[in-house]
Amino acid sequence: MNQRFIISTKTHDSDSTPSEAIKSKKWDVAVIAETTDLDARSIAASNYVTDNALRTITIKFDVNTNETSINGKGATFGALRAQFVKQKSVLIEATTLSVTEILYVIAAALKEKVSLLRLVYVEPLDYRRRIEGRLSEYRDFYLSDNRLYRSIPMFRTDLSETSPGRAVFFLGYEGARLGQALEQEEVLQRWKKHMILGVPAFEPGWELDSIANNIQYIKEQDSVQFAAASSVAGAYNLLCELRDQDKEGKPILVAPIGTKPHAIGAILFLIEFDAMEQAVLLFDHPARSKGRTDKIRRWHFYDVIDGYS
Amino acid sequence: MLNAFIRNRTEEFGLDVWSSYVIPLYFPQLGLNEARKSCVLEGGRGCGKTALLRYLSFQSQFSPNREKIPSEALRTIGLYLKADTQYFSGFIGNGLEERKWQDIFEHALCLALSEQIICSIRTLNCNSARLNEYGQINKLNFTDAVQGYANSVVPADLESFDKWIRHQRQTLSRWFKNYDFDQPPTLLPLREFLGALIEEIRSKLGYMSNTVFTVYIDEYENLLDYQQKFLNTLIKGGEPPLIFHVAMKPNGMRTRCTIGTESIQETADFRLLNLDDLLQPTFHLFAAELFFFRLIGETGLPEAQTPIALEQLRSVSSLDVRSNDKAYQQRVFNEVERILPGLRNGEIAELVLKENTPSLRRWQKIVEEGLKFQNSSLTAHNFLDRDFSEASVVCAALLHQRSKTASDILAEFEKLRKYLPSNFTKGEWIHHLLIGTLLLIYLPLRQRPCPIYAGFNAFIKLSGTNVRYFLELCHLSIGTIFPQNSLLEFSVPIDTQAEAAFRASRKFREEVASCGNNGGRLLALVNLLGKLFRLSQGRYSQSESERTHFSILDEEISVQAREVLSEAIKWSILFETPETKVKANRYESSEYILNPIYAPFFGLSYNKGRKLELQSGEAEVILTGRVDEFTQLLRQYEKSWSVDIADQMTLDLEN
Repeated sequence: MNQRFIISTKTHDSDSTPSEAIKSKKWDVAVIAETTDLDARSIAASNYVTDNALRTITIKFDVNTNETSINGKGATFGALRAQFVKQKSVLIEATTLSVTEILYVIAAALKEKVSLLRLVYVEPLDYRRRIEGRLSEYRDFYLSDNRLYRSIPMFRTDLSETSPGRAVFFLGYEGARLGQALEQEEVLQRWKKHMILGVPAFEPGWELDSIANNIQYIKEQDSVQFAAASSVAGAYNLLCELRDQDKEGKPILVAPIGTKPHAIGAILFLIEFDAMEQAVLLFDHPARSKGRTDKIRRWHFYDVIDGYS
Repeated sequence: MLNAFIRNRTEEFGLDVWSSYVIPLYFPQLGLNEARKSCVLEGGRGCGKTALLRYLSFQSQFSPNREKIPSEALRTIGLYLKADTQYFSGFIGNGLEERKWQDIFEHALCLALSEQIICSIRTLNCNSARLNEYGQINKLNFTDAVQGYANSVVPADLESFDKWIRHQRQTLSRWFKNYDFDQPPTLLPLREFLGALIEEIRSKLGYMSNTVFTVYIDEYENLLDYQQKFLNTLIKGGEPPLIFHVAMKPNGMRTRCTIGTESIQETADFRLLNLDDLLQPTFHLFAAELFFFRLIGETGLPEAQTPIALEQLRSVSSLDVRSNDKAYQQRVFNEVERILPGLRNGEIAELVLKENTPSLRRWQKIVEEGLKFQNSSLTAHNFLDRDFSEASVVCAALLHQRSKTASDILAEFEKLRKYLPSNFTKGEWIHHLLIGTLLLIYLPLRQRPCPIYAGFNAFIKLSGTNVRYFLELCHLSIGTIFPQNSLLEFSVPIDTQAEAAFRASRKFREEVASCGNNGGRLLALVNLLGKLFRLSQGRYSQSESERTHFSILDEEISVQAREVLSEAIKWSILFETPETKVKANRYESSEYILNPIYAPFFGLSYNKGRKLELQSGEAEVILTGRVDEFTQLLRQYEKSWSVDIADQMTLDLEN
């Protein structure tokens, strides 16, 4: 299998900020979210990437207006690319940045031939909804974040005009995200569906929540597959394999509505195959609320090298 | 046999529904084929909007399965369009002004409809017999017709023009991927472009010389405001040969504005058709017919074994017979009620009082507590007479009502037993309290199927006008037990049906989370209302029995709360009706009924019983509050209703 991206992973299995060993060099540019104080891991990860780069930019994509801003100012994709001109290395704080923001940053950096990308992702010790979910009242009244399935600039595909291929859903805790996709995009009924669960999960046992919450939307004819919840390469390889299996070159729709590492794998795949509608993004842009997670479990560093550059 | 009812969404049947569509009995009232003014079709989930529009569209009307196409079918050609929500909702921002996006939306819509028009000609001429009858396609010259609007060469013949249209769509897609750098494609003006296209067709194809093209836009509610305004403009200016109809969920039209200064008005600019209201009076019969139609179509059951004829259900000309032949209707009802039998309330009361059952013990406990509450020396035995089961059951609640003494109730009971006039019948105690008391008895017995929810008639009440709900209830009831090739002596046990009702109810409750962008909030609303009504249902006195709806005093709620309410109505989680029985001097307002499909899960009645009047502040909490506020509200009601402590454990939904 000839894959474009080479992904290597390092894990720092502690809640403390990683030592100098991992902080091996100064990065040319760090990219962080506009709001960095969502929870403990968000603060720690943002501080880490800022400390380890020569300069830092913030990026924000607002799904309500479909506009992107850099350092607080409205920007085009061209302006984002301009941030990476002649830069060799980019450090991305993937914990707090949204899927769309990471997608744009990686796409822009690759267009400018950045030779090394590192994404930092910090796992929480636990999720608030899991802690509170133990009481039946919280389980029944858990208010999920608002979401909106909306196409975004540069990755916009009219599904009613796209010939059916495979639809790959990376699943997480909230079954409603899958449910809404299937309810809203009924055209997907004619697509072969692959449901990807994060197994092994971040913590043994969490996968049961994902299965229980999504099972009602999974049909007998759907294919259920697994990739480690924290594995970017696992998600990316799985998508590449699915593409290789299909000799007709039908489109692959990717819905990264599960773990962030899976989303990063999906983003790399999308960037590789987006041209001529071979890969299609379906995403619901959940609003990120404060205090969603508790403490820090471990750190992941994903280095991505573009084999085509 | 497993799959007779498993496909319960129109989308699973594709665009050509000619052979699978049961014509609803209200069909003649629509007049859509003759409509020369726009219609707005409004209807909740599962009422058959999409199926109807697909039936009216050329894919079905010119279906290869239709042997003879009557000339009326060529008078009006329906073009069905369901916008891809995530695609069109993304038509904003990225540094472009809304005005520009509106032009892009118009262009995209124009291309989609052009493709549909071409496809309608192709579908009509789909085989050699049809080509012989219609044909003449080579007369068409699209270069002459629309070259003026394009900046590339428009090919003349149909096949090449189809490819050219597709190419235009691809150009748009390509530009979407790169708009920082590329110039936008030439954008087509919809009305002019389609007008010229239709004119070419009408002038060259004799068989389409008087054809009116009607566009059906499905899921209008999902469009952005400026997109709705653009369609409103088309609605306002629509006239033959091109008319626009839209279909939407309740509250789906967020704006009546057009892109100009005018707005659209009902009657003057469009006719509003409420499909739920149209379907409701005949839903009983329609559902029963659909039941057999599906059994035949999906399982191969011989038609002769059923009271229906497939052809009759598929034909507009047979609607008279279906609507007026009472003997036919009775045959259909008798047979469906034989297969899905229900129990009368009196029979359920007998079942409840059977010796050595948990329900009898529960009845006895409630009666004894009532007697204790009244300091009465009577015993439960005094109120138990299996020849008067209904009255015996009702006594359990009566003994908890402050206005009645145990001895008075017993006196009335004695009169009844001597067949003398009594409050049980004359005072309508049984009428008002029986279902409430039966539900009260079954409330903590969740592991036991409650027969109130079993039977064809109960399924109809649980479904409202939602065909999907009805089919799911049938699917879960019949599932694997259907005997091959024979309906004789086949009947679904009451318990199996009741259990299916519970399972369907649970499933559709869970599904609420995936209803729109605020599904989590809507699910919390269902759970909270369900628990609240369940608390009310758990009151021994049943003084406010069968509570399943509420009103909001003064209706002074925030914009945010109103949005949640509107969203709940849009997704048919609540039904809004004008308020009845207004107490004191209050402005006329609305009542909100919880969808009866959730009744079995919470142990509630599917009838609209007594109303819960909420203070504005309470409504605000229910619609926009947080978890701790929900809990506080429930505790407060629990206290003021003095719900029996022993029943509190039943509040946990999953236990």
